[in-house]
Amino acid sequence: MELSSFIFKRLILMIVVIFGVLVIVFVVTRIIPADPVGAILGGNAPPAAVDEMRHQLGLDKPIFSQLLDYLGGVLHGNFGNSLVSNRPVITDIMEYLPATIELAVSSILFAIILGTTLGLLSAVFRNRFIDHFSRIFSILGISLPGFWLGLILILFFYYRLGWLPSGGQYDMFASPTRITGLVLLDAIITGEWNVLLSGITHLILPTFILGYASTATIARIMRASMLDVLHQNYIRTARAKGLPKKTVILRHALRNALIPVVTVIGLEFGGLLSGAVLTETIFAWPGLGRYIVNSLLTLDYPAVAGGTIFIALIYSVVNLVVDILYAALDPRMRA
Amino acid sequence: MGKTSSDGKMKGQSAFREFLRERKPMLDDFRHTLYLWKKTPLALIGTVIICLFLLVALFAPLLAPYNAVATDLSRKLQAPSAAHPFGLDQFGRDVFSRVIMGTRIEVSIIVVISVISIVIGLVVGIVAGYFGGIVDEILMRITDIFLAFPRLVLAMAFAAALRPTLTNAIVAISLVEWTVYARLARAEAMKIRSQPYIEAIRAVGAGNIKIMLFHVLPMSISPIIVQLTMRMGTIILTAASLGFLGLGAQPPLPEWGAIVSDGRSYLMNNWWITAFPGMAIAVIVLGFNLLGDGIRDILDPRIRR
Amino acid sequence: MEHQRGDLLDISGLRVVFNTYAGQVKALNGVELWMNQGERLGVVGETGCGKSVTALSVMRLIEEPGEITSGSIWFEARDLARLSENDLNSIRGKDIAMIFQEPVAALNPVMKVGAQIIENIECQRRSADAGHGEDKRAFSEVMREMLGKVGLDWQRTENLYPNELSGGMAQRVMIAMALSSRPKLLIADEPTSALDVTIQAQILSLLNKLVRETQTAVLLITHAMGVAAQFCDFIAVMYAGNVVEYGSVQSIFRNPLHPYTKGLLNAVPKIARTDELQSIPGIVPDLTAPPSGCRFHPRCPCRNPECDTLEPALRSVEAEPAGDRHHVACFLYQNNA
Repeated sequence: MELSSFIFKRLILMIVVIFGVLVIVFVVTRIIPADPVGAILGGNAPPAAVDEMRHQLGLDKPIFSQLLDYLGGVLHGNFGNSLVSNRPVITDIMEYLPATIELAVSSILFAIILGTTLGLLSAVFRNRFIDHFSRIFSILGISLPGFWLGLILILFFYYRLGWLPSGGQYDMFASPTRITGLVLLDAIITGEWNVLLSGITHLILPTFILGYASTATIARIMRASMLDVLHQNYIRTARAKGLPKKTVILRHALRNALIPVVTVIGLEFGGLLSGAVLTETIFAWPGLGRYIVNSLLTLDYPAVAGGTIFIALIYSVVNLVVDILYAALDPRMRA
Repeated sequence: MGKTSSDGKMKGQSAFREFLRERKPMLDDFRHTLYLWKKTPLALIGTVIICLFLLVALFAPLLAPYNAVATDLSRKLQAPSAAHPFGLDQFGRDVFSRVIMGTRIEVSIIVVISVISIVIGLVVGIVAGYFGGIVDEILMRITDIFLAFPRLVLAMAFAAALRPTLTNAIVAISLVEWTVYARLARAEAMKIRSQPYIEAIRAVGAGNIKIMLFHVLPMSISPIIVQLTMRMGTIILTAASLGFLGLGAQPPLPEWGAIVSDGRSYLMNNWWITAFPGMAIAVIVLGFNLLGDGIRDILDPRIRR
Repeated sequence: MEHQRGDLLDISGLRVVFNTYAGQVKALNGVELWMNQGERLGVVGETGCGKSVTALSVMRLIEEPGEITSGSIWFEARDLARLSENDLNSIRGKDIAMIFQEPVAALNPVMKVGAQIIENIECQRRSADAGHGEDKRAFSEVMREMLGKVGLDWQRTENLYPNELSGGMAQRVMIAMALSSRPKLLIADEPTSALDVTIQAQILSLLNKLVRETQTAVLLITHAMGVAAQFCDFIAVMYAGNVVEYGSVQSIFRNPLHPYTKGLLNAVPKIARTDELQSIPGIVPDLTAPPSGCRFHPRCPCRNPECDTLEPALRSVEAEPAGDRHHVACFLYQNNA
C-alpha cells in the first residue's frame, strides 16, 4: 500500500478513537458523586442559589444534551471552567503543558540514547561486563517504583549531598521570561544563562526518574532484537564480503534491529505521560500531570476531563507518528 | 465378591495406565518444561522470591511482631533498631509489621485484578475474534479507545470517579488491564475459528456458545497466563502508584504505596518510613520480572530445541 | 608438506566442534581437501555430513557456539586459520567470495539491492588502492555491468529490495555481488537447493559461463551428485565430518572405492534399472557421540577388525583413467592394515 493511503487510514481511525475518548471522559466525570455545586457555593447555600448554579452549569439538562453541549464546546477548544481556579480549563492546560513537554521530551531522548546504546553494546559484547551491567540496570529499571526511587534520590542528592535541587522547574531567584513556556528554550532565546543553568539542574533528577523505566525497556528490546538480527543470514553475507566488524554492526545489523525498537517508543511515550504524573508530583514540577492529580484530589471535574483528554490526544498523535515512521523505515511494511 | 472387587481394581489400574499413556506427549512436554525451569537461574530466583512473598502473606499475622494499626504517639519516629528493624512511623506504628501485613493487601490486589481483567478480556476477545465482522470492529474500536489513554492516567480517572478506596482502585486498574488479554484472546479465537475441526463440530450441531466455551477458551488460557505473569510487575507498580497518590487504599490500611507517601513529609530525618515499603515493592516486582523473563526464555522455541 | 597438494587451497586436518546444550557436536573430524587454480571441486554428502561447515570454515565464518579446534587452511601462501580478523577481511569478498543457499534471506532486507553490490565493490577497491580517487559513479557503472552479466535489467533491479525479488533473481544478484571483485575462489554453498528445478539449471549454466570467462576456481557444496558431476572437475565425498573419497569426476564415477560412495551411487534411481531401490542400511550417527575409529563402520558391509579402533587416513590409489587424482580413506585399500 502507498504510504499516503496508510497515513490517511490511520488518521481516520485516530479521529474515531478520539471521539470515543471524549465520550468516555464525559461519562466518567459525570459519575463523580461529589456535588460540584456544593463545592462552589458551600454547604449552606439556599436552594434557590443551588438551582441557579445548577442551571448555569447546565446540570439540569438531560444527560444526552449535556454530552452534546460538551462535545460542541470541545470542538471550539472550550473545556469549561476550572472549579478551582475559575479560569477556562484550556487556559490552565496551556499554562502547564509546556513544562510537561519539556520533561517528556528530555526523558524520551535520554531513554532512547542511553537505551539503544546499552542494548547495542549488550548484544555485541554478550556475556561480558557491559552486558551484565546493562541487564541488571535494566531489570532494576522496570522493577523499582519510580515514585520511591525519586524520593530516595532526593534524599541523597538534596538532603544529604546538596548537589541537586529537590523540586520545581527553576530556582526562585531566576525568573525566566516566558516565550514558549519551555524554560530551557526560552532561556537560550533570551540569553539568560543563569536561568538556563538553573533549568538544567532542576531537570536532571526528574528526567532520570521519568526516563529510567523506558531506558530499561528500550535496552532490553534492543538487546533481544540485536541478538536476533546478528544470527540472520544476511549478517553472514556481510561478513563474507569482508566488511569490517564495525560496518557490519552499524550499517547492517543496527538498521534492522532498530525496527522493533521504534514500535516500542510509541508505547513508551504513553508510559512516560503516565509516569509524568508521579514524577511531577514528587518533584513539584508545574506540569499537566500534577495539574490532573490536584484536580482529581479537589474533584475539579472539568479540569480532570480537560487534562485527561489532552493527554489522550497527545498520546494518540505520538502513536500515529510512530506508526508512520515504522512504515517508512521498514519497506516490507509498505507492501 | 472378592473377584469382582479385584477385577474392578484391575480395571481401574489399567484404565489409569491408559489415561497416562494417552497423555504421554503432554507429560513429556511438562517434564521437559520442568527440566528447563530448573536450568534457568532467572526463573528459579523469581520463583523463590514469589513463594517467599506468598508464604509471608499467608502467615502475616503470625510473622508481624507488633500490631500494624495501633498508634502510640509517645514513641513516634524511632530509627530502625533491633526491636524495630524498620523503625517506627509518625504514629508510633512498627513499620516492619505494617510492611508484613501489607503483603496480604498486595496479594488480594493481584488476585482480584487478575481475575476481573482476565474475565473481561476473555469475553471481549473471544467474542470479537470468533464472530468477526462488525462485532469485531466495534469491540476493537472500544478496545482502542481504552488504549488511547496512558494506563495510569485512565486508572487514576476511574479511581477518582469511583471515590478513592482500595476496592475501587482495584476495579479501576482492572478496567484498564483487560485490553491486553482481549487482544490475545481475539488472536487465539481467530486462529481457531478457521480450523477445519470447528467446521466439523458445527456440522454435528454444536452451538456457538459451546464452541467458544469448550474449544476456544481452553486454547486461549495458556498465552494469557503467560502474559499475566509478565504483566504482574506492572500491575503491582500501578496499584502502588495509585496508593501513593492517595487514590487507592486509604489510611490506616498498610498498603505499601500509601506508606511511602506517608513518609514523604518526614523524608529528611525519618527516611525509613519511605525506604522500606518501597524496597518491598521493588523486591516483589523484581521477583515477578525475573520469573517472567525466565518463562519467556523457556518458551523460546530456539532454546526449547 | 601438505602444503604442496593444491596451489590455491589446501585444507589439512580441519577439526570443528559446536558446543551446544545437548553436548559437544564434533562436526568436522580432520577434513582433508585441496584445489588448484581454476579447478572446480564439488563437495557432496548427506545433510549433516559437514560440507557446509567446511565451506564456512574456509573464510572463518563459523560463529559461536562453533569453533575451529585444529588444522590448517592454506590459501595460496597463507594459513587462513591463523590470520587476524583484519587480514581475513582483506581476503573475504575479494580473493575469496561466497554465495549461499537461501539467497533472499542472505540479502539485507532494508537495503536496496544495487547498494549492496556497490558496497562490495567499494570495499574491494578501497583495500586495493590506497587513495580515495574512485568515484561513486564508477562504482555504479561496475554494479550495473555485473547485473547485466547475470542476466538482469539493471534499471529495474538496482532499486529493488530483497523481498521484491524471486529466488532466482536473488541468487543472480548474489552471484553478481560475489563475482564483482573477480575472486580467485568462489565458494558456493548449495546455491540451487532452495530454487525450482528449472531455475536451478539456469543458475548453474550462468555460473558455468561466468567462471569460465574469469578462470575462477569454484568450491561447490551440494547434496546432488548429478549436479556435482555436471559442473565440477573433482569431487570430494564427505561422511560424518570426514572426506572419505576424493578424486576426478571420471575416476569416482567409473570406479567408486569407498563403501559409502558405492552406496550413494547405487541409491540414485536410474530409469533403465528395474531392481529395488538400494539404500544404505542404518542412520547417520549422532555427532555428539560419534562411532570410534572409522565413523562409517557401523553401516559398512565390508567391515574389518581395525575399522572400529583406528581412523583411516586419506591415501592415494590408482585412478581410472590412470594419472587422474583418486584418494580413499578406507582400510580396504591400505596395504599396511
